Amino acid sequence: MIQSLSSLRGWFSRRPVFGWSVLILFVALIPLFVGSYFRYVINLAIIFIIASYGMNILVGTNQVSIGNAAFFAIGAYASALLIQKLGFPFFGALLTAGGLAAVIGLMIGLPAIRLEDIYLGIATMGFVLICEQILISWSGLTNGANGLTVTKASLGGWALNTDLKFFYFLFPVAISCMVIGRNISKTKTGRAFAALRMSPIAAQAMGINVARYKAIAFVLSAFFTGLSGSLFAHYVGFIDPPTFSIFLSISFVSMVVIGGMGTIAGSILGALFVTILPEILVMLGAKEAQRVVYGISMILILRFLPQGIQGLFGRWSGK
Amino acid sequence: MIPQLIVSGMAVGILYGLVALGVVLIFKSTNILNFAHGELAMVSTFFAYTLLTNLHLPYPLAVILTLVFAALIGYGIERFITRPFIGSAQMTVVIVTLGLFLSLGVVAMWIWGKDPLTFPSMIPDKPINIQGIVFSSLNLLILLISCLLMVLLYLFFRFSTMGIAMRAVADDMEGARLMGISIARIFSLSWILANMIGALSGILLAPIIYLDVNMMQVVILKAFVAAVLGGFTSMPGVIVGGILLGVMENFVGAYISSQFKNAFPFLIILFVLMIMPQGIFGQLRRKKV
Repeated sequence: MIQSLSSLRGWFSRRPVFGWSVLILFVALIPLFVGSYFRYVINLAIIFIIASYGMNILVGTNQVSIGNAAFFAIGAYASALLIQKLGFPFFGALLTAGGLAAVIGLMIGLPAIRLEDIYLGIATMGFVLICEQILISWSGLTNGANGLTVTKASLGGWALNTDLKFFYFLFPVAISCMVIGRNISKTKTGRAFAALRMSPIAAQAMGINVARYKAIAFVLSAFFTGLSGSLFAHYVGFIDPPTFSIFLSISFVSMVVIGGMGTIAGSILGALFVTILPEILVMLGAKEAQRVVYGISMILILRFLPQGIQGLFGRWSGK
Repeated sequence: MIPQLIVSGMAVGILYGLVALGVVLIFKSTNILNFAHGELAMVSTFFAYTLLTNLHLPYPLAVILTLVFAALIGYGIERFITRPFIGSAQMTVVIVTLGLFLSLGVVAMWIWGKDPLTFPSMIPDKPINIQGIVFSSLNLLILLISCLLMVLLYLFFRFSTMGIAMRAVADDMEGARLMGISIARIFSLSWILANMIGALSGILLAPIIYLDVNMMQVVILKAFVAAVLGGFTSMPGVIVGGILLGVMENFVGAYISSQFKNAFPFLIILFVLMIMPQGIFGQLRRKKV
C-alpha cells in the first residue's frame, strides 16, 4: 500500500502540471458538496492565500513587512470607493486597487530598502499604525470608525452575490495569481529573488542589483496584498479600520512562517491554517486564543520546522 | 505656553528615549530588532500595578520587585527563546519577536483584563510654579529619574567590566570573543538590562497615558523613531532623538492639528530614512553586502 502510494507520488511528481490540474479540479468541485458556512470559510481562505502569497514573495527575498495589513486596507477601501464614488466596473476597480497598493508600496519601500533590512520592518510598522489612524480620521471619505458598507462584486451585470458564484470567480483569480507568480520565478527576476534568499552577499557579487530586486519584491507583495484586500471587501461587504490593525499584518507573516517560506504550497497551507483555526477556536469558545496560537506556532515552527508545515510533507515523502 | 510645551514634551520624549534605549541596547549587542520590547515593558508595568494596588506594597519596594521580575523575564526570553536562533538570518529572529508581540498582549489581557486602569503615580501630580511658569510635578519627576538613570548607565558602560565587555561585543563580536568574553553572557545581560529599562519606562509612562494592554503599541513606534533619529547606534543620540520627537510632537499638536500629531512619527521615519539614514548621531550602517 505504502509502496504503491509512493510510486503514485513519484508518477505525479514527474508530471507536476497533471498533479496540479487534478488538485485544482478537485478543489473546484468541493463547494458544490458543502454547506454555506464552509463555502464562506473556503472563500475567505482563498482570499487570504493571495495575501499570504504576497507576503511570501517578500519573505522569499529575506525581508519582512509588518505593514501588509495597510496594503490590504488600501486595496479594500480603494476598490470600494472607486466603485461607489466613481462608478468603476468591479474588475477595473480590483486591478486599480492592487496597482494603487503597489505604487504606495514603492513610495514607502524605497527609502527603507536602500538601508539595512530592519528599516523596512520599522517603516512598515509605522505605516500600518498610521494607516489605521488615517482611515478613522478621514471620515469624509472612509466613513471613519463606523466602517463602510461595500457593494457586492459583479461582473458585467452578473452579480456575484452568493458564496458559490463568488467562489467560481475567486478561484480562477487565485490560480492566475499563483501562475503569474510561478512564471515570475522562472524569469531573471525570480532567479534574482532566489539568489537574494540564499545569500545576498553572493547575489551582489554576481552582479545582482540587491536594492532594486528587493524593491521589486516589495512592490509585487503590495500588489497581491492590495488585490486580496479588494476581494475581501467585496466578498464580506463591510470594512472598518480595526480590521486592518497591525495584528492582521503579523498574521500574514505567520501564514508564511507556518505554511512554509518561499513556496506556493507553503502560502496555501499557511493561509488555510490561519483562516480555519479561528473558526475552530470560535466553536470552542476561545476566540482570543488565536493570537497566542499564531505567535507560539511561529516561534516553534521557526525553531523546529524551518520549512513550515509544507516541509513536513516533504520529509514524509523522503525528499 | 511654550515653556510648558517644551517641558511636557521633554518628559514624554525622554520616556520614548528610554524605551528606545532598551531596543538599541539589544540591537547593538545581539543584532536583534526586538519588536516585543514594548509588550514586555507593558507586562512588567502590569506586574507593578498588581504589587501596588492589590498587595498594597510601598512604592520603592514594588519598583524593585518589578525590576527583578523584568530581569528574570528578560533572561528567560534570551536563554530559551532567542538564543537558539544565534546565527540565523536577521529576519528569522525579527519574526520570533513578532511572535512574542502577538502572544504577550493576549496573555496580559487574560491576566489583567481589557479595561484601561489608572496607574498610581509616585507623587501627586501638582502644578509647580517656577518663576511664573507652571510645570507639572510629575513631568519634573520623570525628567529627574530619567537623568539619574542615564548617569547610572553611563557609569556602568564607562567603568564596570561588564559594561565595557558589552561595548566590546557591540563593536566587534569576533574580536570580543577572542579576548575571552562570553558572548552568551553578554546576550543575556543585554536582554536583562534592556527589559529592566523597559519596565522602568513603563512605570513612568503608565500614570501619564493609562495602563492597558495596548498602551505600548504607539509608544514602541515612537521609540523606533527615537532610535532611527539616534541612528540605532548611539545611546545618547537615542535619548536626544526621543526628546526631540516629544517636543516636536507637542508643538505639532498645539499649533498644527492634533490629528496630524498621530501621523507625525511616521513622516519623521520616512524623512530620516530618505535624507539622513545615519540619524543625528549614529554612524551610517549600510547593508553589509
